[in-house]
Formats: sequence, structure tokens, C-alpha cells
Amino acid sequence: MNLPSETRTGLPAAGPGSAARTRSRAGRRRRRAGDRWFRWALLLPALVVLLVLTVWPVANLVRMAVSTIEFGREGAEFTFTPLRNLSRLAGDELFLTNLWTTALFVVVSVAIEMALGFLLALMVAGVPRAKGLVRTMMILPVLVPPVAIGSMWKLMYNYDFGILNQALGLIGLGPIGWLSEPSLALWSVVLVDVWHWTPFVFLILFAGVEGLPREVIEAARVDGATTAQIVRKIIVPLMAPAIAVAFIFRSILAFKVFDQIYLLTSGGPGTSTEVVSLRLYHVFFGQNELGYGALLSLVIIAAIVAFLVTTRGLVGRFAR
Amino acid sequence: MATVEIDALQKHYGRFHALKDIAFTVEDGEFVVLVGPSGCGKSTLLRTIAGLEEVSDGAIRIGGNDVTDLEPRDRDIAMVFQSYALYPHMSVRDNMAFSLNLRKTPQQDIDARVAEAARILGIEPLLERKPRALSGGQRQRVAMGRAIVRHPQVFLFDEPLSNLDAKLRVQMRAEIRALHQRLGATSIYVTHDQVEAMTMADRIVVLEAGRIVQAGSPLELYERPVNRFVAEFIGSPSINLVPATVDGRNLRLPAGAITLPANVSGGSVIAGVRPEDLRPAADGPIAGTVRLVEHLGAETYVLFGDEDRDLSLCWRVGGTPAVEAGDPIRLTTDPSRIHLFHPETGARL
Repeated sequence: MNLPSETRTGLPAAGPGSAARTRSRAGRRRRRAGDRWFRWALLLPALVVLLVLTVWPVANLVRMAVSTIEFGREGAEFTFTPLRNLSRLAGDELFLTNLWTTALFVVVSVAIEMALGFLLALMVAGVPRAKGLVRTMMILPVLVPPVAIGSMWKLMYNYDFGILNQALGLIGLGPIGWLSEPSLALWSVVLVDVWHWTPFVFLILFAGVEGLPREVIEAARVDGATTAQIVRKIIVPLMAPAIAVAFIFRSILAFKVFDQIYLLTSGGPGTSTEVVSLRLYHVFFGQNELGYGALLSLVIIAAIVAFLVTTRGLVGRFAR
Repeated sequence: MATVEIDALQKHYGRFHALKDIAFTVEDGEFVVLVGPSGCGKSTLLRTIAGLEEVSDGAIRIGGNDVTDLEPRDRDIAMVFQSYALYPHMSVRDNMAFSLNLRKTPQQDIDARVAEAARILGIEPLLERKPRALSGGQRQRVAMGRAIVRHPQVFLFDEPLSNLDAKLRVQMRAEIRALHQRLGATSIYVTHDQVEAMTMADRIVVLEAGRIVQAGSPLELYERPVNRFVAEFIGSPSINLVPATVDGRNLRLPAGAITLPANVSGGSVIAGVRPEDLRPAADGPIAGTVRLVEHLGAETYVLFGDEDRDLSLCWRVGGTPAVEAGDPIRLTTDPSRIHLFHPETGARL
């Protein structure tokens, strides 16, 4: 049923009130437009930073990836040759090996770090006293500079006088070429990465464990759950956000690993520990192939994104 | 269902003695409320019965079996927590079925038990929801449902209504009581709210500083509190306590004397009179000036005092009495309704 406008609005349909209403509507429109401009003005600094620090470098990387770059007297000269870099990539079997080595490194090291970090977080959370001190001691390896880590472990892995081979010698074993055996070098590097980065995972997961609601875990105990069932069915699902954060951070960092491997093996023996970052280094700075290096960088970014998208589903399913 | 026997229970946290020689028995099907002020040890006692806290000494027996050193899962108990402690990542149905799944109960039985509990508690439409999509009262019901489906020997409740608003608390109080009558389950219920204790309990155990002060039926505690602490704790508004002297049957109160029904050994005492036991009398032995009148509709609290003697008292009266702030007031009571306590030990005389 149509009601007269006076009844619906409480105001007469025409007359001086109508003009006032039109004026107030125009005023509201002006205020809204002003608000819109103000919002964009507030966003502007962030947009500028995003454009300058993210969009422009990636766009430049794409430009480099489809170009041949030569240095003349007037600086870098870009020649648009998209097929040249792509065809080289298609025939680059070494890069496939590098990708495989990187994938192995990421999967094994991140899996061990996540498992160890989680166990340590549970154990330290159960420490009755001096929890803060234990936590601080646990995270010390993260604070050590990578150069120091590389030097320290290189000494420990030394074939002739390294502490590991000395220890093996005491029980009549070894010596082992930790960094010189092609089949062993990658796992030696993984061990160093685990030592270095497990505390980082521990720190994130420890915060998660500390934030777990105590009564929920007690309810599970009363409901009849064993410790393993509580971990599997209660703690892990409740910690899924913290686990996801630790996993994503570590995966991205592991994909980009450079310093440790450069310092320990420089990618050797042969190419057994040459991960994609090292290959990029060689292409960019050894061979001066900036265009091809840029293309490899884009492939690595795509690989990281693909890895994270794939594993996010797996982590989610595991946490349920 | 089963009896619960607590025998000479002690609990220490380092040097702190949290539970001191606790001993009582909860009979099969009885609803016992542990009550006391914050920090008195009531929740600690409940948690030791649940197996969530280790005892320092003593024994706990459920259904005649010593469970003192058993894990919570081996005690055949169910517990409703103050925060409800629902599993936030599971649906209501999964929350309720969790314990049955752990025990590898056949799926048919699980479905039947969950459906039955949901029907009793009126939460059937909520079964597929996650706890975050429920109101406080609904979460409370789910927590109850999670306990019911287990068919445990003993139900433990740790202040389950303290997070609800006043109206819902009254409603849930009645529902828990009705559920207890329906299931006939042995129940131990912790609260600091004496109204909850009085309205729900078959028997109340009052704790103070880790020790049992008195155990008895709600009316027993109300009518014959063993000491000043229990007298003050049970009853709302709290009992009026007035310094007095007694000589044989003659009790001298601040504004007059009253004859007691029996002789009491002479000297200073604390006389306790419940606010609802006072009545106006022109020559009443309790006098003062009205400070505040609180109208509750069906009844009125008249707060009055005597500044000379630093007394602050309450008269609870039905309806609306014709008094207002500043009026002088004079009251008396039935001598048999007076409780006398030792001025130093607080023990009942």
C-alpha cells in the first residue's frame, strides 16, 4: 500500500521544507566527496612507498627478463629479446637441477625445523621455572651472524681437524668428508640450517603454545585424551595460525638461502649444493647475464608462490 | 553413579598450604556444593578430585576405588569448567562426541547419545555450529552436554555460571538442578555465590583458608552456623553482628536488653541477627538512624547505623515501610533467632 509521503517521512511533500532538504542533500554529497579525497590522500604515502619499493622493482625485473642487457659508455642498454632468455631457460638443465636441490633443501630443512621447533616449544612451555632464561638460551643461534655460523661449522666439518671427525675417530669411525662428499654435502648444509633456524620456529610456536587456553587442554584430559591425542587433536589445530606463520616464513627464507651455502660449499662439490640463489649469483655476477638472471628470479618467485599455495592446503588439512 | 570419599587430603604449593586435612563424603546421587570466598581452596579441591592437580597427601576414592594417583581420564568423571572450555575448532556435535570418539564408542551409540543430550538441553538446532557462534548460555549448555554424553560416575562443576548475566544465571541454576534430579548423578559443584549454594545444594561444604569450616544442609548452615565466618557467608544480605554482653539469660545490646531462651556463660559476645529476623518495636534493643532505603519491589532493605558505636546494620522487610533516610529506627527480634559468637575465636556459643 502506498502511503502519502508525509506519512512515510514525517515531512510535507513540497514547500519550503523540500528546498531545505535539497540543500542538505547537496551538502551531504559535497561532504562525501570531500571524505573520499581525504581517504585517498591518507593512502597516498603508502601507495607511493608500495609503487617505489615493490611495483617498480618487479616491473623492472620483468623488463630485464625480456631483454638483453649490455653495458656501453652511456650505461645499460636494453634490447627487447624475450625469446632469447626463454629459449635458454628451456634448455637449461642445470637450473632444473638447482631447483630440485633447492626443493630438497627446503622440504627437508623446513620439515625438521617445524617438527623440532614444535617439540621444543611444548617442552619449554612445560618447564616449571626459569622459563624466560631457557627461552633466551634457545634462541641464541638465530642471533649469530651468518658469516660466523659459516666459519664455525666449516671448522667443525673440517676433514682433517674438525670436531665431528675427531669425535668419530674416538669411536673408531670416519673420517667423513662432510662437505666434500657430493652425496653428503647437501645434508651437512641442511644440518647447519636446522641448527640456525629451529630457534626461530621455536620462538613463534612457543608464543602459540603459551597462548593456548589451559582449560581446553584440561577438558581434553578429563574427556579421556592421552598426551599424544591432546597434541594431535587439540593443540595442533588450535596452533594452526602460528604454525602457518612459522611455516610460510621459514619456507620463503629457505627458498632464498644463500649465505650459509656460499660460505660452507659455494655450491659444490660440483653442483651438489648449488641452490637457485647461488645459481642466480653466478649468472648475475659471474656471467654478467642480467636479463637471464632476471628471468630466473621470476621463475624462483613463481616457484615459491606455487610451493606456498600447494603446501597451505596440506598444512590446513593437517591442522584440522 | 558413585560415592566420592575425600580422606585427609593435603595440598601444598611450595610453602603454601592450600588444602588442610580435607575430609568429607559425597553420597551416591548427592549434589554437594563447595563454597567459600576467593582463594579458600574450593577450586583446588575440585581439581584434585578431577585429577588435574596432584595431592600432597591423603586419598580420593570414587565408587570405593582409590583414584588418588590416577589420570583424569581413568577416573570416570566429567567436568564443566568456568570458561566452558569448549574445543573452539570443533562443532557442537564434535565437542559432545569427542570423549566417546576417544573411547572408540560405536558411531551409532555416539549419535544416539549426542542426540539425547542435545534434546535434554534444547540445543538440537546448534549441533553443527562452532562454539564462537554461540551465546554464553548456549555454550554453557554445550559444556553440560559434553559432560552428560559420557554417563560418568561423578559430575564436577567449577563455577559454571559465573560468566553468565544475572537473569541467565538464575535460569541455568534451575536447569542444572532439574538435570541433576533427572539424572540422579553424584555432583560436586564449586561456587563463591552463596545464593547458588543455598538454592542448588543437598549439602554445602564451606571452606575457609583451605580448611572445611562446616558441612551441612543449606538450612542447617543458615540456622546454626558454627562460627561467625559461616554466619556472615551464608545469607543475603549478610547477618548483622552487634557487640553485646551476656549475663545468664540477659543479653545487653547497644540500645537495650533482651531475654535469651537459655543461660549463656557471661561476658562479651558478638550477637548475630539476620536482617529478615528484625521487626520494629518502640522499646527495641537495636536502634540507629536510617542511612539508606533500598526498594526492591517485593521487599526493602533499610540500612541503618549508630555512629557512636560504629555500627552498620540492615533490616530486610517485606513491602514498603514508611521510613526514609535520617529517620530514627528501633527494632527487636525473637530471642530464639539470635546467634551468639565468641568475640575472639568467632565460635558459636
